[in-house]
Amino acid sequence: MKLDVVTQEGARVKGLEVDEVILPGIVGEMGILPGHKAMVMGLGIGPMTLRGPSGEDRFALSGGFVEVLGDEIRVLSETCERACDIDVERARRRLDDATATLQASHPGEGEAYNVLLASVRKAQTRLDVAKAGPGR
Amino acid sequence: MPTLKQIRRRLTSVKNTQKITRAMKLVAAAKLRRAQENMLRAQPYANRIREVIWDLSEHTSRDVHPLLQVREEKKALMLVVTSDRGMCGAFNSNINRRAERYLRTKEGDHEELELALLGRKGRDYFRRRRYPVFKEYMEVLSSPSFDRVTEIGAEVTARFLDGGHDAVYVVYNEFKSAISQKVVVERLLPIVPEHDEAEVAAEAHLQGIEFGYEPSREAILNAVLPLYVNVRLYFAVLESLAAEMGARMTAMESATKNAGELLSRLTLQYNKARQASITKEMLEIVSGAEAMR
Repeated sequence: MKLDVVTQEGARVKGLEVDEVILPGIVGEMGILPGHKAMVMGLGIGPMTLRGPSGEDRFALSGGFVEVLGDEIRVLSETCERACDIDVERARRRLDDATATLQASHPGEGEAYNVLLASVRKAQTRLDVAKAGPGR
Repeated sequence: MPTLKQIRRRLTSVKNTQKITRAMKLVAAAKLRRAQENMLRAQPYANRIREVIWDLSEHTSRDVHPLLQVREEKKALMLVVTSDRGMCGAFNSNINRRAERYLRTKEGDHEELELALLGRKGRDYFRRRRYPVFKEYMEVLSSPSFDRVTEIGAEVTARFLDGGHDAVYVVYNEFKSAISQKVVVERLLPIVPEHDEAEVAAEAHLQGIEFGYEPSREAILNAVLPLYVNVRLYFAVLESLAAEMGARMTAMESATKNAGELLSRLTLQYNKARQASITKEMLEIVSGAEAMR
């Protein structure tokens, strides 16, 4: 299967040959293997894992959607960071900052609270992905 | 008739100005290239979002998401995208005048039209004329980042959703080419999905394929629509930036040329004055010598 990932900063992955992709769907993780039916799935915040001839690799995604058609997987996400490009220390600090801001606010604040919640989840994902590394 | 010294001083000053305008032109050219690259990079993202929104909204009712709902446009917001710095010809005044005309002639037929100003030049213009301003965002064009635009997008969207505005428009300079810009007024909210012919043709091969939607069409649409607002706003900013740099390049180019013309005129004047003073001195000497005889 061929994988493409685009973000607003341009193509992150282009025509990469993969055997399996695990994506963070809105309602839960979903693995895509060759021969999957045509599908459009909304993405949440979470890790994307690729398995291919060149081994395993991980990325942190946030939002967007994926389109599966034939042997093409096209992911669109707000951000897509590769595990080896994330600095663990800085990711940890970002998570601490985000958590502190979240704790200082109240769920009653509506939309603003959801934004903070999302930023904590993003920071958590980045840290997890960075710690897990590219895998094997 | 200015003295030799005065002309010489002018010459040096014009030469220095020319050096500055030439440097500014080169800087603008480099920044223009970067802005164009940014646009190119963001293009696939924007296209994909538009495709999917069109595809999804075609089969769902417009009530499914508040961002798609067209209300009677009583209160509207107009985002005016200008630059923070001048020296770019008519770039800013074109856009400000266009926005003001829109306000004055009530082109959009709104009961109330508020302004949100991106960029210092727009702020200065409308502040002087005492128009009601909803919000000001500075330094957006000088360092365009998606995060910053997303913040603005979120704020504008939130106002639209809670009924503060019934529609949101953006006025910005569309980047035609390095030498031409066009002021456009576009509706940002509510979203009206549009599709051009080329895309319809490109998607013909998808006909008849049964797509699965996870978890549902509506849920995906809900997740993607806010991204669309942001990406459109981001594009307006990127286009404005490219247009600003193009306008500055042209303006500085002609400034450099004008300085060149001025220099040649001044040089001529200088040479004439020099010649005149030499002739005068000669005459004095000759007539002095004549008198002595």
